[in-house]
Amino acid sequence: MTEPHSLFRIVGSRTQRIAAVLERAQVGPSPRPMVVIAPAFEHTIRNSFVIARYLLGQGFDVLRYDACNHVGLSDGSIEDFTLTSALDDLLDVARFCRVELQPANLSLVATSLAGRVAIRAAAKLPGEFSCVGSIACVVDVRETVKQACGIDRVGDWSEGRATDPNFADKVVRHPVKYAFSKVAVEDRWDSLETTLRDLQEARDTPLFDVQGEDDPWVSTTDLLELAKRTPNLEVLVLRRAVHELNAATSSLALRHLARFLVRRAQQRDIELDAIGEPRWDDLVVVNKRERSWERTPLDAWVIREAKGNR
Amino acid sequence: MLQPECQELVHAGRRDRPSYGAALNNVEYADVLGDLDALIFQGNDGYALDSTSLRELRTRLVRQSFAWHYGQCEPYRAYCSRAGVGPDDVRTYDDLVRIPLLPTSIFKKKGVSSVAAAEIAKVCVSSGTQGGQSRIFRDKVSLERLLGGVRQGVNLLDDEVDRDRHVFVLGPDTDQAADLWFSYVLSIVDFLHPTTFYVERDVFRPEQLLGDLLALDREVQPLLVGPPFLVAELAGHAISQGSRLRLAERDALVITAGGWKRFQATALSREEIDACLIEGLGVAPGQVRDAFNMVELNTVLFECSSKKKHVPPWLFASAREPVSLAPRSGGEEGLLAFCDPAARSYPCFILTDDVGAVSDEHRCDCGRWGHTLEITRRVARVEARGCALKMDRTLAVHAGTEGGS
Repeated sequence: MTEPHSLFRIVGSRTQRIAAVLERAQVGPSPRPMVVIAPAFEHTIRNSFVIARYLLGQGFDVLRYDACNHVGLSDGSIEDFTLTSALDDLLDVARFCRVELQPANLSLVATSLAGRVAIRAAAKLPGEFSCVGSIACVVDVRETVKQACGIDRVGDWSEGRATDPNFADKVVRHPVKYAFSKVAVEDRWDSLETTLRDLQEARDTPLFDVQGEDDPWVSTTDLLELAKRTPNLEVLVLRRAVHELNAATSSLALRHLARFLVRRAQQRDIELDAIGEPRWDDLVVVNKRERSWERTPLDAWVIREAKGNR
Repeated sequence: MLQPECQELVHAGRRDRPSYGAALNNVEYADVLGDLDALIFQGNDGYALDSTSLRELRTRLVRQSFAWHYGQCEPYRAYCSRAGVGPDDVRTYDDLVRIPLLPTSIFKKKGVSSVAAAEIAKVCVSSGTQGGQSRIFRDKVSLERLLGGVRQGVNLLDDEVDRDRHVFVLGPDTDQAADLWFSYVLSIVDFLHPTTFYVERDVFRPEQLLGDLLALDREVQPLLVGPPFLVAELAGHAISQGSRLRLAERDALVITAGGWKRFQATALSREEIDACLIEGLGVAPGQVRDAFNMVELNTVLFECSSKKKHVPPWLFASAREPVSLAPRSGGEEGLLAFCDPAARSYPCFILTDDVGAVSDEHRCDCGRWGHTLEITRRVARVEARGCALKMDRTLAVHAGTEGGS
């Protein structure tokens, strides 16, 4: 079974167009609670379709989008990606949801680097989000970028070894300008302590993170140091797991994530075993549908255009 | 100005990766990942293990799998009982050859499953064009492990893991592949990479494929996958059209799978296929690789840069003497047998119709350690035909060329 979906083009605060997909749950009274899923670095709408299936099954409407200045259909090139532009996108999308779609409430889900962005969003707009769930949330941007690309790109900027913000170099698979590092430093995204600062600002928002114990890009020790100081942050550590969820880890991780969201955004308790798994055939169908979206230019994609400006 | 706890954090020496310390009531731990899934999904490098570690790991995985199926699959347990072998009899690496093997013909006669019917996600079938049709009951876990193994196999094909790729499948998409195993596997590769399919309503469209190759973003690596007769047809079409494709510049890979089947008598040798692909598509000679799979097996074996089919660390492969089923020595020909713990929903302890050899453990020229597999030929039984044949026949009938090449 595939849920009804709508394709949107949201014009953000920087006038760039954001491609978004809304899927409506087939259970629960309307208006339903809604979850916005922010894309991980180098990921698109399609990459989070499995997460969405777990949430739709629990009565959440789910909106996913492609970030601007990134891979995917939204405007801009990934060369110009910065965490601040990712935050702008997330806040634009959240505003669009609140104003245009009027859900019962709004929560965020994000993976990896987008998790760091979601924490900043919760810090910036206290009370706006019922809760924030993340997977492999990056808590020390400088360290994660260093581990992921083998170069201390953020440190190079903060310590003056790199000075040209327009110089682009490969991060994981794509070249990204050093403006990423400049903005990370200037807008205080770069360190564990800036994350803690944001967590303190978001102290009234329930937070949850799934962490792979053997994640080479995000230190479990770092995360637990933050958890020690952040009582509103719940953490699930998956033994032996790494940064990306896979078929063996995703079922448990996503059921925990769904349970957290149900408890916090729907105020109801649910056992893990009661959270249904997506069927294989449905995953095949949805994956093919979303691959076809990736091949369709944004201009041909619009169903409804709306302002997302804050 | 940092808050006091932030300052404490900065000076906590976190890069020393200290132990986690006292339990926190907002932190929960979960054990979710066994050795098998860590190998398949997390890319733990089994080819880097030394001989002792590899044998220990493989023994543990196959034993666990044997115990699972012995406990869950009543017909298999009865079969084992008749053979007088149970989980307690399989303890060491040398004991693995004692695991009772199911001839693949069993799957043509009988449904064999280790899980409840509700857990079956896909009933996968062989072609059955020349005889019975194997029916393999796969659950989601088995299908996901199959895909995870394919993803790892791509790493065997190409050492550069994080790369944008586009897969060109010389086969149909899922809706037209139906349950036919080889076509189905190819059709779900789009979980891993963007994929386009070039058999539509049983018609192969080489012209469209060549056009799409030309239009592909230069940064993206093309991966062409299909049965050898269609790969040869594509190359022939490109030559006849005077194609100027230079896919070597794009580091393109061509992966053949499924064999020649009906065209065995007129099959091109690998060298001849390579020559066609070099001439027609400008593929680099080392970039044409073969893969081995069959509907009853839950792992695909890929060739490395030295064109050797590596046996993944979880899979136990052996060649057997055809009558006694005694294991052959390394490199000696025999009937190929597999114990594949990647299959959860059916006992994948199988004796195949394929003749081949399994090498002793050795360091391959590609740098990997372990066994490699060589397929020699298939035993000539009427029912022993693969899915490539079905695809071949379907295409031939549609094109009105049945019986010709």
